[in-house]
Amino acid sequence: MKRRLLTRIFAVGMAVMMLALAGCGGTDTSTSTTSTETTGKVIRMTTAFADPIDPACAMDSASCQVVVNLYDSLVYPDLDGTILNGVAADYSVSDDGMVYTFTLKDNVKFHDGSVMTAQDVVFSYERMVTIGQGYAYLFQNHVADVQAPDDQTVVITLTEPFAPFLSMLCRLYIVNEEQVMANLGSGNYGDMGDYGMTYLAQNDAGSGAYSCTSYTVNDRVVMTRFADYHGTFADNAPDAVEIINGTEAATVRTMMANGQLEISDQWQTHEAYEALGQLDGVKLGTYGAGQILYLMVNTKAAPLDDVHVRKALAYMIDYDQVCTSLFPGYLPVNNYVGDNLTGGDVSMEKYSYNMEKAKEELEASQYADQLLSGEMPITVAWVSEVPDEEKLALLLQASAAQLGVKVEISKVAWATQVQNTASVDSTPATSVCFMSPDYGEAGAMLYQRLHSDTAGTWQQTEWLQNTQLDGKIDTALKTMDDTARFALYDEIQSEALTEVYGIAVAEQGEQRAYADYIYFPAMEKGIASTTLGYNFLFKDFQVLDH
Amino acid sequence: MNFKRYLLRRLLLALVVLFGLSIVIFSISRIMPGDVATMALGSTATEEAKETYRIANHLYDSKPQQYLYWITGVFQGDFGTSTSTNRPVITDISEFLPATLELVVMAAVILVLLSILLGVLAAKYRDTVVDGIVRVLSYIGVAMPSFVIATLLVLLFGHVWQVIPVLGRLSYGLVPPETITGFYTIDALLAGNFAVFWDAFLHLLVPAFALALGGLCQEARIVRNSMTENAGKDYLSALRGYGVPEGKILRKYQLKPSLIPAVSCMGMDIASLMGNAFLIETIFNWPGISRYGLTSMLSKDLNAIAAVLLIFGAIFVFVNIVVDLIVACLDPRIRLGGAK
Amino acid sequence: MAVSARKREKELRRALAFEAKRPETRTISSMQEMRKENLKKAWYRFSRNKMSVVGLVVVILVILAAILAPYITPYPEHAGAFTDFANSTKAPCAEYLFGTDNMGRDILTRIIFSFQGALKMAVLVLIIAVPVGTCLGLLAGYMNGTWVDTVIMRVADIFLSVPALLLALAVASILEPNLTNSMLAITIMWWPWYTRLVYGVATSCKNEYYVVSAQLTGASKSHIIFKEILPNCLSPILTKMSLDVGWVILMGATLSYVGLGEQPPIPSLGQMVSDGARYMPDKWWMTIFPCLAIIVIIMGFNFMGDGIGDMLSKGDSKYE
Repeated sequence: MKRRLLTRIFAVGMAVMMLALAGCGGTDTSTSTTSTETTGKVIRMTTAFADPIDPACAMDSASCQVVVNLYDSLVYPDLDGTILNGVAADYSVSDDGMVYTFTLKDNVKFHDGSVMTAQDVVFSYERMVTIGQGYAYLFQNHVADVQAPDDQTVVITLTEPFAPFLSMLCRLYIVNEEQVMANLGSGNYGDMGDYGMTYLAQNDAGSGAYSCTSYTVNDRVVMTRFADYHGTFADNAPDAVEIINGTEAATVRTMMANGQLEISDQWQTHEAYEALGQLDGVKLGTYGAGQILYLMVNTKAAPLDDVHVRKALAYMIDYDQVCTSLFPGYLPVNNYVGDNLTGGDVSMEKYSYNMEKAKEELEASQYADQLLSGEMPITVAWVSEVPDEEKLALLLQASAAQLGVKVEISKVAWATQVQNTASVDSTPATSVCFMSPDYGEAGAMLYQRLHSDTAGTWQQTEWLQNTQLDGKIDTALKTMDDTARFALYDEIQSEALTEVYGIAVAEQGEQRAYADYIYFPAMEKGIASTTLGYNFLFKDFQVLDH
Repeated sequence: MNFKRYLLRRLLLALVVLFGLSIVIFSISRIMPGDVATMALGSTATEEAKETYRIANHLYDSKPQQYLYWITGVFQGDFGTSTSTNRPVITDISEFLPATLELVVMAAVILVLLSILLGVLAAKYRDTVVDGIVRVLSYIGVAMPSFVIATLLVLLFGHVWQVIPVLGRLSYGLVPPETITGFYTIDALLAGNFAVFWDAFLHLLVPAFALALGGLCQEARIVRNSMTENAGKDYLSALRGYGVPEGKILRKYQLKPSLIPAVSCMGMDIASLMGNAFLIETIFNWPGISRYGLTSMLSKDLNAIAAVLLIFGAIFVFVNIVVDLIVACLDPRIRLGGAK
Repeated sequence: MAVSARKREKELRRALAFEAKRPETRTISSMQEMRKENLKKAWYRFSRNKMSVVGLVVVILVILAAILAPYITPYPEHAGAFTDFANSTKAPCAEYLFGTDNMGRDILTRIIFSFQGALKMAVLVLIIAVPVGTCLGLLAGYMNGTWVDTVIMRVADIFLSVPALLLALAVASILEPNLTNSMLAITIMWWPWYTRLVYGVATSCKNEYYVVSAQLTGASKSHIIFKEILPNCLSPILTKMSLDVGWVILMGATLSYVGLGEQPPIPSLGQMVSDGARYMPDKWWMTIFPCLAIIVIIMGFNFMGDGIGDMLSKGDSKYE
């Protein structure tokens, strides 16, 4: 019995192997003929997934790219940061800037066909804040109350006036209460069970321009055009969008070459992009999306408590080399917060690479002897999870060595960096760090980088705790008039530059390869949204004839 | 009778081992430095959310109590929720496990067939070029970490010589067959869709080969050596004297006894294929449980790590028992003599 | 033909005669000479397989290279934090034999320096895992049948029941990634193999006459375990150890490939492969040379281990 079974297994296995060997010859024909291409206008894009597509949890670039298409918010940002109406037909702000009243459009339908009411907005707000992940932290200290007096009206009351509130409100995505409640699972939220988290991790309950037709975890999301969408589509907007997980260079290149991929991810190496650019019908493009590479400093510990030393550091960085050979595609920063933020678009006197001046500044400092002799090393910490940061540390080390200044590079895990920055003593002298503004205004970045609220977090290793500066930031954020507010931002920026509260080294360039028959708004217009995900509103994309 | 007692003893032992394993795994997943809630929900999560998480995951209870909660959950098939996919870990696993099993089964088939084939060839053409090639291959194969094999194969088939698809489970544009077994090849056959079957099959070949290579080379060596050892046995000369055809002697009388040492070794290797699949799956972009496990390890998704480890342990233990049984069936001395 | 056959027979007879006379005629006058004789025999056994010698040479070269790395490498400063963006990703040429990486560092230099970490890891892991595993195995084997035996061996079984790589990855991923922690992770996985190996030998020789007689003469437990039983386990332990060096290096390379081993800028082979993989296929040298280095170093240790196995085995070597 057993013997026979074994021989049979052997025989079957042999047959399979023969088949395989025989098949290897004719591979190329068999795969290409079997491929059933999606018809119609389609955009396919690769990305690296991490977060689920639940609007209350989505925070990374991939999940935001999906969520902004599946869900609507009351208002949303245009590429240049202008606030446009989403599902709100109209809104008014009380004179004191405390109460926002929104009237909903009356034709907004969810993907299941039901009509959106003000109650859905209230539910979505409560859901987000209760779950407490994703962008909930933005609203935590600002919103006092969200009410729905009738089906069409939403009233949001703030705890204190906050001028960029609308920019922030883009992150409140409206979910279909009925659909979520029908799909509750068991969970930690009492009556609300899991608040539909398991369901929304792979389904959508939104009203966005696209609806999710298929979602495979760690694999792909397929979205199709929503026929009853309340807004407008561009003329040649795609009928279907497929977002594919996987940034492996070989896959991306093969798919682009075979016309199976319209837009590449942003995680390829410089070499890989150049190779993609060589393909027929493929273009390369870069835009800055507001992520700034900072060299943060600890202004409360020697030697960087001396402004001369900070200035010397600023002169030691070869900004051109950073944008050309260190991180090809990165953009220069002409001020403190980057050029793409609303209210931050100013060119200011900035430091340039100048070793002479660096030396002068060092000699003028109280630590001149110790630094120039290499006795007092300057630590540069970088986070092990972001290997690119090491390059900047190495560059700084190399130029400091020219002056005899010793730079010690310290690599720390992210968790350690978070812990270290919690007290002045353990905060490293300098740290390399990427920073994104929470919402697309200069004020967001200024608050995150300079306000006392953020001192002692990884966002601000400067430990400024400068009440005067806090006052300026608070006043700016409460100033409802745009021009006046932006003027205040400028003032704060120039102070940060003169005092060198950290050095804005460069703006991260988001590079992508894409098919030349795709109209990619952020690339064509040369203006990119600094709110994560909003460069990928596919309703504004176009798939041209090809 | 002996055999039954042997089996029973093995199963009991397996239970003890699994219980111990669960304690080890639990300890591993709780020795993590830092705040578990922050790790799970991210640094921007609100304090309230972290608190809810801590309470829901019994983080304030003592460690033994936490273990009890966890293990009772496990018995009910509840491994907790993954913090990276927001879904119950068991859902994730049931989605990813078939892909890995398909890969491992294919690798096992390649391992068994090729190792026997190469071993027999090397023994038959002993001290010739064939033998030499098999020997060199076996040396190199053993010395190559799986990620080196995989990287080189991706370079070869993904860039230089693109005759076989190497990444993913299906070519782009093909719709996966309806899930019945979770094996794309089998499901496609059941659905009668040969195009998908063929494509899925081709996608399997290179990753499975990469996975099997290390063990394969070793096994081929073992088969070859025991074949040559048995070649000089008197009973074979006797059979030749009786005029039994050479091919039959080789297959039936020389190969079979030579397989016994190889089979127990193969069993170990097949059982460890799952563990080795880790980097193979990551490099070949294979959406299996090993890649899921590695992703969750790198993102410190505790529930997922624990579940993946436990499931791998259980499968490993189970496969080892099966292998021992096969060896017992092949070798009458063990089968009749009972437990060793 | 006939002449040569006769000649060979003559030679054989002479050799046999020499061997037969040996104990009487070639008296061994001192311990030193005896040791010399033993060494000769050992070398003979070891070198019977040419591959073992090749392995030994490779291992010696690797060890020397690791120790002398700062003196023999063309650009020792490239082993650390060094950038030369003008020369980044250069193909192999006379100046940079194996090419340069994305930071402009010489790959040959970094490979040689990475041998240091690989060897350090192998030595430290084995230094901890082998004594621990051996002692536990001896204890369990000696106390065969008692609860001590059961506990030790079941715990060992537990660790052996999960693929080693998997558990090492899990441990390393939860701790902070660095060389020490990855060594710790591998050590945790390694001791049970020795426990099982020693246990087998210890249980079998526990009932041998010399152990029983030692017991009867009132020898202490520790004497029996370490002086009577342990010597019997030494040769399998040594054989396994010599083979394991290669395995530990392989495991360490795998961990560092995932990013859980030695951290940059200190070079390690696995990390170089994974960094280079992002630049395939255009910058193939960034991947291929570290891959080859891994294969060569592991093969070297495996060949040498086989040789040591041949050397220590009492009878004739099994194969070839």
